[in-house]
Amino acid sequence: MNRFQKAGILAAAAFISLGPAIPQGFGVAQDYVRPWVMFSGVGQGTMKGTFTLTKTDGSTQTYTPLEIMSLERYPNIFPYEFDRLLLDRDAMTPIVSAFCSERVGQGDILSYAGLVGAQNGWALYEAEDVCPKDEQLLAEVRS
Amino acid sequence: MSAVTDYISDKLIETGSTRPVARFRICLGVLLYMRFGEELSLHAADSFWDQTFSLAYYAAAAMVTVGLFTRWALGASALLLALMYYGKFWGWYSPGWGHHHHYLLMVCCAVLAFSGAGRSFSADRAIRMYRSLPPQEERAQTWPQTLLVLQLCAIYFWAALDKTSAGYLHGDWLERVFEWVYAGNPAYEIVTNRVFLIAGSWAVLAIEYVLPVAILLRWRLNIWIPIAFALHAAFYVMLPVQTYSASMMALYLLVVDPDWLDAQIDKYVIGKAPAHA
Repeated sequence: MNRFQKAGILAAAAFISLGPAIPQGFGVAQDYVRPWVMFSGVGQGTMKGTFTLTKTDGSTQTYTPLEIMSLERYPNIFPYEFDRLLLDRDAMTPIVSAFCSERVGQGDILSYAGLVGAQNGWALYEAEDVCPKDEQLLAEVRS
Repeated sequence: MSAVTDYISDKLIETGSTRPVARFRICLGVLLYMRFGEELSLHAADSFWDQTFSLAYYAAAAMVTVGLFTRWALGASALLLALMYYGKFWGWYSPGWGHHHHYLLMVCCAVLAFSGAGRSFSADRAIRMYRSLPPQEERAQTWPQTLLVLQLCAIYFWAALDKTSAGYLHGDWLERVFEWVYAGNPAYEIVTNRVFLIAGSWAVLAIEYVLPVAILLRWRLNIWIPIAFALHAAFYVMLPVQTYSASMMALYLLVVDPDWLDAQIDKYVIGKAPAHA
């Protein structure tokens, strides 16, 4: 074994053992260096809480996030393929728009209180009147 | 310092049995089919390029499994997996490509291509014997095996480091994973029980920190390998981990003492009495 082969093997050993420090230790996203962060993104944007629909007559009804999305389970796909995760505040619209157009009447208010999956666990989240106000958007959903 | 450089120099030229890498090669070939066999099958391909890729992948995986032109087959498999892993750079991408289990399969193929994985339990060996040629000695340099063991340990360490946070230790990290996987499932109440979440989180983190040390120092492996298998079995049953758990379990074939494993297989699988009996 010559010195170049030895250097290559040692470089491979260093890359395997210390390479993940680049994306994980220094936070530098690098496509060619693998971080070992399995399942760190799974569940981010999922909701664990209660939607409350308050009718104009004052009566209330509660729903789980899955019920709001008309789902029995989250689909058996990679989480990042699912387009109804609450990863930012604007993301509430695709989650609730179908429910709002079908079940929420004029003057009714749909609100959410609970948790949202975040980087290291959960984040508290509360939002009042989450249905989109854009009539054109609701019309598109209805169509 | 001299002791360290001497140790590294010895490791670089150390030779050993090729049976561990050969056993792992067979598992790896099967894992290649498990992970991408269905989506890369010929019936799923809808262009000439996809069909060519499909045939190449199937051929390479088959040759890896049986050990035919073993080094070339492993190198070709690594190349094909790399084309998929980095496929997003040229707009060729499917969900799941680029995941950690995909990377692990790719690295294993690439490193094993430099090993003596074709010298044992292989068609290459059988063909030489059929042609009345002397079979290659079942010994080779063990640095590829050492690199893969290092990869196994690195995965545990960096995965544990990523999880080390207050949120993880309180069970919240695991709970949000289970929210995605189990919401609406009959087992939801059990897996999101707070005691289970906290105990599970601490156990996983402790095991992931201890395993690399135990493997590298060969410390009480008779205890830690069964614990590692239990951990990966739990992952496999409870979470959609693709081929990750199976790959990690197969990598332990490179950790256990090959002579001990041969003796166990002779005794309990083949039913042959040990030579000294």
